[in-house]
Amino acid sequence: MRRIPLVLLVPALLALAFLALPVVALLSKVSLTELPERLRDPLVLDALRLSLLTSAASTAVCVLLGVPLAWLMARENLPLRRVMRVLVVLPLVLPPVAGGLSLLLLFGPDGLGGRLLETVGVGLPATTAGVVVAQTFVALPFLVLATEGAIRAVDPRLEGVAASLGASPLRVFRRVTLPLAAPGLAAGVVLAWARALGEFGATVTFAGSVPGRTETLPLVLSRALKQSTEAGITVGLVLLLLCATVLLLLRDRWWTLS
Amino acid sequence: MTGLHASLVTKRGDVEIDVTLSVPSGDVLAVLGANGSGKTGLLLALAGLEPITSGTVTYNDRVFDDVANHIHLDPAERRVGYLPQDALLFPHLSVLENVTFGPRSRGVPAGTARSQAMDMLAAAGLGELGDRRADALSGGESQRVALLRAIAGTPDLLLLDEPTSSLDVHARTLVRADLVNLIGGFTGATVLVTHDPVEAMTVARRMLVLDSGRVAQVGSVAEVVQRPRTEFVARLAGLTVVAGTAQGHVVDLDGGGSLFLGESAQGRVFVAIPPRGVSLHRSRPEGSARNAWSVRVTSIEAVGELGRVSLAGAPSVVADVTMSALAELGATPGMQLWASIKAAELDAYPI
Repeated sequence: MRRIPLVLLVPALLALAFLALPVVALLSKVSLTELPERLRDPLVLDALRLSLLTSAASTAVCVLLGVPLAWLMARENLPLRRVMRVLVVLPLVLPPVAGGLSLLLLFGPDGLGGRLLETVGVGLPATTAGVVVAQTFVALPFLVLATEGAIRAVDPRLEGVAASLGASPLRVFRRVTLPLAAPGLAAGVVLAWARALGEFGATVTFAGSVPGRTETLPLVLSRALKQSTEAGITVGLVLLLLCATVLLLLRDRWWTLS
Repeated sequence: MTGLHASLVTKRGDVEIDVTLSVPSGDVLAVLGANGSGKTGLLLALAGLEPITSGTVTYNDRVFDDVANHIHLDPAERRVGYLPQDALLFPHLSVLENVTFGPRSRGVPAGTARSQAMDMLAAAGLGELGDRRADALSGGESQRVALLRAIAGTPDLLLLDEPTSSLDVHARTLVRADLVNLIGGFTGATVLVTHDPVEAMTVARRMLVLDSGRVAQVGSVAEVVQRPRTEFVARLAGLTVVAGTAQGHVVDLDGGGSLFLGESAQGRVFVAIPPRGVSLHRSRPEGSARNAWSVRVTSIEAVGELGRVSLAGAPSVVADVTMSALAELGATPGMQLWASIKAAELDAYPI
């Protein structure tokens, strides 16, 4: 076997330990005797159901809106594309609470978007739809950036050949660009979903914390911690198991960014 | 007028391509040129994949491009079969799906497209490849499938970019046979970019030579190959071509030295010197050869049964001599020799 330089090996193992030990710490505090009862807690089950529903919905919205945006950024020489890039990356950098606040100012009762939605009888804050909006806002950059990279990696000459064979731009996209970018898109989907599932700050700021309606697992976790560490551990464990199961079920080629 | 007519200006990298050409329906135009001379750019412009900055492109009565009138037909609307240089099959599709891509894009029902594609593959002897994924093919197979894909959509115009350049000798023979078959039965116009004069001669009657984006020469294949006007084609055709000014039977060469011609000429001329006509001697040759000059051997390589000797002098030439003659001379790089050629072997033509 090739010798791995110590300068690389030691930090790599440190990084691995740094990621693994907190998980071990959490698992070690789980009381197996109390666990089944705590897992049956309707509060936890409701939050789990809500988290699964909203993260799936926001991931779907991310795909529907994000893939076209990624294509536009990768393939069209648009003016203002620097500005576009900043806008796309912004939710990654912005503290989620600030993101939630911005959403509230836009879609809240006094916001322009909020008043527009009100005319069609839709209100977002304190609703499950509001949770989806908050999650989409923070998760969209992951999907767009991963997909944009994947589309850029598709040989544009293949698209040219497809066009010369008589394919309309939409058919070129559906039959050539998208299938070839699929692995990167899949990585983006998993990243976006994971980000949506763990989302806390924007949700709590924008949608509030209404049990059964907007209180997703991370929100329940935060509330449970205020009562007792044990209660928090249970919810933390549910989140951990959920993520681990999904990541393991998807073979790793689905979410490796390469 | 039927066929392809193009008079266009386009950019490809740093090269400005400015070309006028015509290809009647059923005819093949071979385009030759050195790397970077704009061959691929020309095809991309004709296919509509790169914009042209001025000029027009028409096929029969259909206008592909007319910059003055702001007309630019989408590539998908041109009915063009474009074969890019390295096949570029869709790697995620099967061979059959690659071949049906064009017909399906143009609205042919799936079943019809499928059975036609299977027939085409079978006719080309590639029938058993149909279900194979395109990225599992060899270079030669890819190129042959790409050729079928280009022609399956019943295009009006075939644009082929060096279909055999990346292949080994065996695959090249197969692809060239396919080319001859397909082009023979093709009723539209074909533009074949190649750097292989043999390929050009097998499938094309006319040849256009590109040099730095401009048309350096256009004419019948025989004419271009026998009387090249570019260093590039001269080398491909295995000729040495030198420029000079003729007065009667004497040409004063631009690079120094002079040559005696068999037939008289006037003014600026190219002189083609066939390497097989050049003889080499250790000392100044006696006798009938009026063209004899001192040269230095710069390199020697084997070409078939002959030795190709590159010589520096006035003029610098290439000589193809038999191996036994080479051995007799004991020629090595750096050696001083005399070159001679009969006046009748030289061909002078106006610049």
